[in-house]
Amino acid sequence: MIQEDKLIERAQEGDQEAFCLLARTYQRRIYALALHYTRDPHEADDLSQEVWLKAYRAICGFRGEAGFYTWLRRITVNTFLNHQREMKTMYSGEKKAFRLGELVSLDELGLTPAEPRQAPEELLQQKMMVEKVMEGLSELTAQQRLIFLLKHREGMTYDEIARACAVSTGTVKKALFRAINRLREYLGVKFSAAEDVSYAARERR
Amino acid sequence: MHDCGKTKELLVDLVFDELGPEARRRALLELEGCPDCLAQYRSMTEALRVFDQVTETAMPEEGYWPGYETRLRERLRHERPSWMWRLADWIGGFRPLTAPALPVAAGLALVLLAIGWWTWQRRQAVAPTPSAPVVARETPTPKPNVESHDKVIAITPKPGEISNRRTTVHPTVHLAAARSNGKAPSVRREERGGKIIEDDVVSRGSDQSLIVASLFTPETIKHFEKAQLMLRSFRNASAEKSFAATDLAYERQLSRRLLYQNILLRRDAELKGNLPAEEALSSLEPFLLDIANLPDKPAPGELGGIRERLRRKELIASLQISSARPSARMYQNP
Repeated sequence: MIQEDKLIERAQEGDQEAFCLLARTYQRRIYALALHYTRDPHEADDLSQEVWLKAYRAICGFRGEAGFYTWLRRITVNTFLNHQREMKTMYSGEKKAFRLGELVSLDELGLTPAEPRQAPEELLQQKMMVEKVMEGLSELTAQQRLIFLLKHREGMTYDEIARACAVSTGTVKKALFRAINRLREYLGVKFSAAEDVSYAARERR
Repeated sequence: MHDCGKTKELLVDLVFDELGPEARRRALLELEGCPDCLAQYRSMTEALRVFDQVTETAMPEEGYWPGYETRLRERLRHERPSWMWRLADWIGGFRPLTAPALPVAAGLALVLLAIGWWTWQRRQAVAPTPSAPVVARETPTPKPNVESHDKVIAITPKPGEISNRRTTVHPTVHLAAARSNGKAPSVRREERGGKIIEDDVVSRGSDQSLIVASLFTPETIKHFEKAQLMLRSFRNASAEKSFAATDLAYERQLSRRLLYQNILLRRDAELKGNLPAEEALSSLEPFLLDIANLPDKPAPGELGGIRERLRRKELIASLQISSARPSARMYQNP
């Protein structure tokens, strides 16, 4: 943490290398958020880099009142919301007009599995699952997607999300319910009542 | 009495751990009594578990991150330091936000002084020369005095004399500004009527940005910016003697994506009859197409050909100028 403070200080003095080191710590987390938000690796690359550029421009204003990541996440959410508005203006009425999901394979998109030694069938199944998840996410609005990611991946509370996205907590809950149901549907997760006889009892313990 | 409707409202809170320990225990007890609600709860938690597993595999592999960092460094290099850094440099390295009140006040006083001095200088430059009223008195019916004007303008500079500096507004986007070494030169020299005139291209950049902003839509400008970065990255990567074929994989993918966007933007410009945008996008398209269609292991000659055409057409410099964004300050001071 002390190291991070020093890096922030150096970055505030204009040291780009220090800023890049800071970025290295969080770049995967920001990229993962952007990837699930945009569902397109290229756009995720662009969007996450835009977050870093904005953070770089604004780092002089960081006073350490909240943690660095909390501050960075605020920038991330704002960048995502701006992106959402830009996309609305650019392609109003259309649903992702230039999405390449249909045009290029998952390999080309860089959706390669973390373990290269897996069996081909396993790889194929994983790719299919990734596609299903992305399809499920595409059924949600950008705002619902963002709310779901902020809750599930970032662990923010309802109130924090509501403040960040300028919506009510009721909207947050509805968005989460819808998101989780879409995922259930696309991933084909269903349980019959008979299977669950002792499940709740186990959970409670 | 169990109410499925009410319990289902609690499911989201339960799944996302928004209930306190006691409320959670009660909710789970409630679920135990209703197989339907329990099945729904289980399928929700399972869906999240599968989502987490799947999203792990969707992340790019390790080899992706060095490139990501390089691109970030490249983009940061084009970033200008914020006004606070410039101010801190100017006053001698103190940071206004963390500094105590007295130095801040001193800094502000300095800034105000500088602004006052600058305004005074501008007024002096605009004010008429002392000789002007005399001329007006001597010539009650003034005619354009070309001779006297020429005398002022056409003085041949003495050896070693510092040449004049002026700022001009050009009506067209001046791509020639970037024609030396692929970088935008800060000063352009011209000889007119025996007098050397230096154009301050840096200050003219603000006018240029405004012109660019009036010619192209924000989406097109953003597109040019991305294309410029991609072409720069391609040029640098393909120029390396020891480059591996995979080094260009990112550029190929990005090029493909930019190509689709380019086509959309070009069609849009065509429909709107925006000729400058259409021309600029048309000149970019063949390069995007060529890079997107490069084979996995491109021959050095193939890359050299594209690089040479890029150099000849000075496309990167043109795109850099075309993607210049006007700053807020420019809008304030038209």
